[in-house]
Amino acid sequence: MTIQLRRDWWLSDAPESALQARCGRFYRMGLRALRSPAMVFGLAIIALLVLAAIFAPWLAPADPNAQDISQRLLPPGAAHWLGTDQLGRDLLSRVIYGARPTLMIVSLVALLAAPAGLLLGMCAGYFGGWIEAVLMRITDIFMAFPRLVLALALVAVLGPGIVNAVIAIAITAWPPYARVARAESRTVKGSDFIQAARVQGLPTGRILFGHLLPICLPSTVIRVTLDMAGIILTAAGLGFLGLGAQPPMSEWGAMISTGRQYIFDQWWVAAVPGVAILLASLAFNLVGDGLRDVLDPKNG
Amino acid sequence: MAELLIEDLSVTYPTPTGPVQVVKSLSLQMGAERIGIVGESGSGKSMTARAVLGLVRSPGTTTARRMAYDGIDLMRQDAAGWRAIRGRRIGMVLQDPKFSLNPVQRIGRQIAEAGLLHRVFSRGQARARVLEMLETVGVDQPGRVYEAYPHQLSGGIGQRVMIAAMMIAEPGLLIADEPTSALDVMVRGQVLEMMDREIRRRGMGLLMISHDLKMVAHFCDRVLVMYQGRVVESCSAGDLFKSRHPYTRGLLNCLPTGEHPGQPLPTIDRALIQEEAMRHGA
Repeated sequence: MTIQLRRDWWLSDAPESALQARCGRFYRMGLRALRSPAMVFGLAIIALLVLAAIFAPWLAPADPNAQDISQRLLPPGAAHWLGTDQLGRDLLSRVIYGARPTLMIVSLVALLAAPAGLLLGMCAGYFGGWIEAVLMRITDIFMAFPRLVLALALVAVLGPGIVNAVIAIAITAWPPYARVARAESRTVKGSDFIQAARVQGLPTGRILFGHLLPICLPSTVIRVTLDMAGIILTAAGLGFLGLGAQPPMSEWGAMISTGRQYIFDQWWVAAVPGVAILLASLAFNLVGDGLRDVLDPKNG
Repeated sequence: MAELLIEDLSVTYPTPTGPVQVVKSLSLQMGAERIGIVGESGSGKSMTARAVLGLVRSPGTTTARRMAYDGIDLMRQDAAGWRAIRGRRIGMVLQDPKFSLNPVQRIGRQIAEAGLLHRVFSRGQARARVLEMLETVGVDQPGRVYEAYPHQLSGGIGQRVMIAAMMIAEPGLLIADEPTSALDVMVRGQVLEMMDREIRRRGMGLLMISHDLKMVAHFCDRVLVMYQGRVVESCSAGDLFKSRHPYTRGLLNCLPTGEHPGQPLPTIDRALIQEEAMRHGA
């Protein structure tokens, strides 16, 4: 059976093969996603961000680091669509290049924090007893600190820089995932199929990764998409305080920070990266929200 | 021949008002035969089965003068020792296939898992062995069931799959904890007959836990009747309906018959059982 392009094939009520049924399910999910304008908007902005990050050298009208003091602090206009900053650098180019560190931080944090939180939470929920008590108290300690403050302290120890910012944010981001995974594995742990696996003589590692992990995964993934906006804001916050990406790298938080000095006379220097942060975090929120609705079977 | 030997098995749970024994000095000796354990809820049937597999969770404790299977001391096993016994030497079929199969894994993989783990067959042979096993337990379309997820199966097929999963590593003893109480009456007989046939063919032992007296009498050689953690009667299955013990009589009287329609069923007279127990104790 091959995939066909006819609409009725995708929407058939009586699929002839498992492949067609699966295609149909995804197609319907896609249709449902497209019916929600908020999600379409979010997806469009994220797509734009990704494209901007990948094709920055071709999209940017100028070198983001090329300085021209004679052209400094120009308002938005024909030559520089979004104006220039205090060193005469083209703001549009810098915003486009700024998508790179932002996306990098978001994806690296998700890749580091989500598996760590998942693993800790799963172990805590499955083993219970003192292991759970110790792991969850550590989680509580991490959650007791405001995120940005803890990230700040960590960067202060590790030293400024984009890699250290990723590590710092990842260390502050895992506790919610641990909580979600623990709740999930606690409910599943008592179920008969875990019992059946034990009766068959399966070692603990195989029960954890073979049987428990696939069940804890979906809720953690949704939690991660909803957390993306928070990660962007924390990254921008670190950049603003000079602890994230270092100059001359164009990073939105750092750009706002330099624009702060001119905010009353040359508002665009701070406003342009500010809008970029706003749009990016809004987009991730909308998509996370929409994704939850699409994946929720109760929301037919 | 592999033999299960239990002497003086007790399972104890601490409570605020002192320790409570849920299984009281149970002794049992069985080879490749089929033994049924019957009794009301909370009589300690399931706890006995769990104790044999070392599955009594803390704070519960298991004590026994002796408990061994095929010369393996079941009272002195560490985690690795238990893993080698569970599934490979002693298998256990749980009550409800709806909950005892992992909802997010394909059936074929779930059945193969124990066999691969205990190195009964290699990865390359797994598919053929699982399909063969599915056919043995009476699944009409093994290929389709192999690829299916648990929610796509009916209860009867699900329980056949569970039995297949528990027999794939070829254990010598199968413990079945109310294997059919989640199935409807029509399917129940078919599944039991299949299980009975396979157990005879492979020369396995069966420890069947149930509250269904008729079923146990039909499918087992011997019956143990448990009441409040104690074995109150042990008889051959054929003699079960001739039993004189007040508790067993009570259970038998509670079975609905067509003789007096419209009459409320009798309840068990616990005072009488106590009296009997006192007499036996004295």
